[in-house]
Amino acid sequence: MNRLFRFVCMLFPLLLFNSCIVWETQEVIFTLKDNGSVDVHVKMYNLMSEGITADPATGKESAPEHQAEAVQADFEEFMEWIEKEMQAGIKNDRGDRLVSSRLFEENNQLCAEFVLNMVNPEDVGIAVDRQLGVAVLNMEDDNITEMLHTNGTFNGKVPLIVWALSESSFSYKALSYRKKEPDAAVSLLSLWKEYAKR
Amino acid sequence: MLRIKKYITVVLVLCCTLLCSCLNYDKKELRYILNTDGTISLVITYYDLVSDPVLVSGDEDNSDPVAEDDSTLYNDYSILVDDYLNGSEAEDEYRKYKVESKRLFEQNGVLCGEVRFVPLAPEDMQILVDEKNAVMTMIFSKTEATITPLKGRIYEKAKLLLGALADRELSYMQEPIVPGKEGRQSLLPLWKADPSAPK
Repeated sequence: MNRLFRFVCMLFPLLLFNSCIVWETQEVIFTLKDNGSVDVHVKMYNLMSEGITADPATGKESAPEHQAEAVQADFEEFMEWIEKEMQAGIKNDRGDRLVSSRLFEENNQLCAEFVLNMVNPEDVGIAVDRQLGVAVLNMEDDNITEMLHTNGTFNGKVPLIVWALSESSFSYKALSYRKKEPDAAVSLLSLWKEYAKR
Repeated sequence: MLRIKKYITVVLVLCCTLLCSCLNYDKKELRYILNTDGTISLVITYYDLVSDPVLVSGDEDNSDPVAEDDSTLYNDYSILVDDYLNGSEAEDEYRKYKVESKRLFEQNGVLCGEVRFVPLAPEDMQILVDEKNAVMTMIFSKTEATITPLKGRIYEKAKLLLGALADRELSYMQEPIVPGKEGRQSLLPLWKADPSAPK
């Protein structure tokens, strides 16, 4: 699972989200606050499910004909998590706060948006060095397939981004998942639309 | 039959002694130096190379160090010279990099060892050199050791070492956490007395 998503899951609150939810691109904006905390604005575009389940005992993956069932199960689990756990205002022990969360449709895709306030930027992998006038993001554990845009320094060879603190916010947009086969992952949009009608 | 048993016991004790003898050091310094051509040179220096006492029970937390005899001391010195300095032990420990040179030297009354590696592109050492923001930074994973930054600042949670580009270096000292240093013996006297060791 992508670190960013795992991170969101772990924060609010501890929940082991084992589904095969993936998304095509992610856009993240960090804004440093005067009190030293950081607002993290995360957008995940085109949420999909790979529809694969593995037998816990054998580790064997499910057959392709069971993909639809697995996708449905992934979606149900995801929605349960969103509705029960991802409620605005929730805080963890460190004082990190979920400011808002929503699912929305854009360009015929299901997307998710979370806004978090983190007390310590290092908890999202950001080192803020006021003496050197920079902030550095360590993306070592993120499954970034390709960097699409950033307003910081990224050389494409080391998973680090450096921003000048003079920037009002630090952002990047990256490709998170690339389908190896056309039907490798299924969009969750139609399931979400059906769910909304219930 | 009794003699065979005695012989086996002696062999087992000897094997145990060899396995437990411990070539160690007090501190390890890692320096990533930015060269004028843009490459990075890694220099690792081990300060105070020592022979640590043998632990008898096999459980490091509850073992008592026993007084070291000369054979253990000589054995550790031999490992240092034959395996590390003249052999390929250092190369085997740092497979990602190519060793350029190795040497032993005396500094402040202790024996030290230095390994220099062939310079590499910054990205091959997980280092980002950012001219625009005048910083250099690297991915840094905390190990089971006490870490003291020398050039740059360590951000433990973010797993980063970050410094000014003007310093042209990121470096830190690593001190292994050992149960105790009682009975530890410096390898300096043996090195000084070794006529074959380059000085």
